[in-house]
Amino acid sequence: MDFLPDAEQDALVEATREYIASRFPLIGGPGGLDDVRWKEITELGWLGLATDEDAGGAGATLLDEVFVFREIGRGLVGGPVLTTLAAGRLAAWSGQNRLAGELIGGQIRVARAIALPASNDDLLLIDGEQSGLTLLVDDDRTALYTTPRNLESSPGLEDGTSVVRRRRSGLGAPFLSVDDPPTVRRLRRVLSILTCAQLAGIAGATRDLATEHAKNRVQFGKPIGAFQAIKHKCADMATHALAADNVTFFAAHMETVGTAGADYYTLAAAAHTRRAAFANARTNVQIHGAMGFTVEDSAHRFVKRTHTLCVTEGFDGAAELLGGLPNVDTSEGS
Amino acid sequence: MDLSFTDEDRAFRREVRGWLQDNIPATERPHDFEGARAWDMAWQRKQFEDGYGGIAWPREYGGQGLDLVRQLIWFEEYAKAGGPDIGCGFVGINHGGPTLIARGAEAQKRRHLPKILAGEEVWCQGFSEPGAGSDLAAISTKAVIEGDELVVNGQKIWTSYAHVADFQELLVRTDPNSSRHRGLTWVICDMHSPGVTVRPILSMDGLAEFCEVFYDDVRIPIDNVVGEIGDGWSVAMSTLGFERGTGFMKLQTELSVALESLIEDAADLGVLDDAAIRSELGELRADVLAMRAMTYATVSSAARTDVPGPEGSMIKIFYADLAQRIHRTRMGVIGAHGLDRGGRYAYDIGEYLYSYATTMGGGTSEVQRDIVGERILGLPRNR
Repeated sequence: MDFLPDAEQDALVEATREYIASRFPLIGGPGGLDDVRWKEITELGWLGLATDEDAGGAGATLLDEVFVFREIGRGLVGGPVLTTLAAGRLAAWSGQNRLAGELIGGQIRVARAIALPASNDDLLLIDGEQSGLTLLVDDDRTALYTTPRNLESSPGLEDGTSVVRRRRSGLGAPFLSVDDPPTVRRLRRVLSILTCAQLAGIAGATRDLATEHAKNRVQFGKPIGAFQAIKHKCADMATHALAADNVTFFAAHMETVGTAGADYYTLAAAAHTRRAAFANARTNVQIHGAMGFTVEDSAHRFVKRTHTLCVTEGFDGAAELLGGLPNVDTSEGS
Repeated sequence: MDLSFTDEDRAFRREVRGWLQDNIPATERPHDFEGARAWDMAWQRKQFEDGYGGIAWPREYGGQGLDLVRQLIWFEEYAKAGGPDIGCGFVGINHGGPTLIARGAEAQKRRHLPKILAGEEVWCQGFSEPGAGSDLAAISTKAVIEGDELVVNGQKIWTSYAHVADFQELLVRTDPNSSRHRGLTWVICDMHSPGVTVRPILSMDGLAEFCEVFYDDVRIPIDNVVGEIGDGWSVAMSTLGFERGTGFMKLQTELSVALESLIEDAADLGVLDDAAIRSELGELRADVLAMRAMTYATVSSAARTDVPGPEGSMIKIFYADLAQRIHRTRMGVIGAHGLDRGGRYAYDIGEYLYSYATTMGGGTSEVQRDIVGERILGLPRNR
């Protein structure tokens, strides 16, 4: 047992962080993903790291993807990366290797449709522009549709993004549909765990940004980080980030080894990383003071991204679901 | 990254699970302190005699010489089986013993370690003073060197089980002209020495484990000094490092056991139908799993480097807060049952009241936050 990243995983993290830092500045960077960057991330293999090699993937593990997606969260890389990855995985599991290859190769981008509250028929489409397909994941069924054309968009919560409202009935016949419950649940876990990784990345990034600001901003003749009111907030951010990392690694590991109770671990990681990311994103705004309230600082972007991720994957309901599950023995290991 | 246990680890888990089922004491721990001491030590001796004392302690001092993973497995199975609290064995097994292993002289190790494991010596801690709590370096209990003895005068406080202890890990100021971290010495004090007076203090959970200890010209052989004279701060820090590091292996499983029994209570009492309660319990389950995952990372880090990492302070902050939330939630779930200390939830009420100590014992959460802010994040000091 060695529950720490190995040398290869450390190298993957470092290379990914370097690339993102050079191409996606937190302030003044591209809103979404332009074609050049989309091509770059495709060439880096982000869309199919853990997909089977037969289907055009790299045959790595979900845990390796977690390390990449933690950096994506940290650097606030936008665009339909996760949804396209998930669609590729679904295609591969369905034996549609050609489609999987096109998705992993970045030829088709995939938007995400999520249900609006109080109406099962009204959907919101995210990353709809430039996406040939749209992924919809219900409780018992998941399907890929051709993305409707002539969309009237409205501004998204995240600056520079847009969303589209659409009726479920207007999506037409699915391009690919899967209603096998274990496969649907497995796809949800992949989406959830890689979202947890992004939230853990947000928790870590905001810890670092707030700490850096607390070291440099001087008031009352001292860096504000010398005061316990600020120092203790930073310490709590560090604790949240450490916990968020490890609970995500745990869930990803359990999914990788295919143990029973994978839904339990995934829900636990979702509930925990949701709270950690929100807490840290909010505290990061507060520690930056009035500057943190402006769009000239990056703090607001972490708040908006956290909302987008948590709503898209339904993390707000994770704790309630987890509280109602039967216990799983979490100490067996594998 | 690898969370798998070897076949040998799994066999060990099955073995200890069976042994614990057969051997966990069925008798109730006595309420008087002498009786409780005898009961705790008999249980410690039983573990030692059957080969489960000091799982990760070196073999030459009576330990089993196994790795930290086996220690982790032992603690997990122990907590799941409902093994009794370590009681007055705590300081010897978790502080004094590990400190002697790390910093003690050969003669000190040979004299004390086998007896700690065999349940023949009870140890207590002597760090905090009325004027030195969070500011531990403000210690003023002084020791004067006279020939081959230290002569100690002063007072310690919050010393659990001092009234039944044989030895104490005592931190004293040996250099009267020193201040703060310099001039302190870590010494083994025989609690039966003339001049040692112990007064128990009743705590809010109704127990009187805490004590004040007074020292009037207490003579301690200089051979009892652990490390060098004047180097006591670094010895004390290694002791606290153990408490804040791998010491959480057992605590985190206990939390998991406590939470699952709380969820059973919630089901029994019919409150699990309430979505808000389910949500609260789910958040707690998520945090218990995070606690477990962080513990695994710490054990792995200790196995790689042999030294508890600074992340121990973060785990302590996290653990203390989580323990309090679990016990508070239980009081909400049991409602009016929580007002009856003689009823079926008497144990849980005691655990709830005790949980107020978790953010203080072993260093307050506020001091831990200073440590995280300054030593991990590199924020400036304000002192």
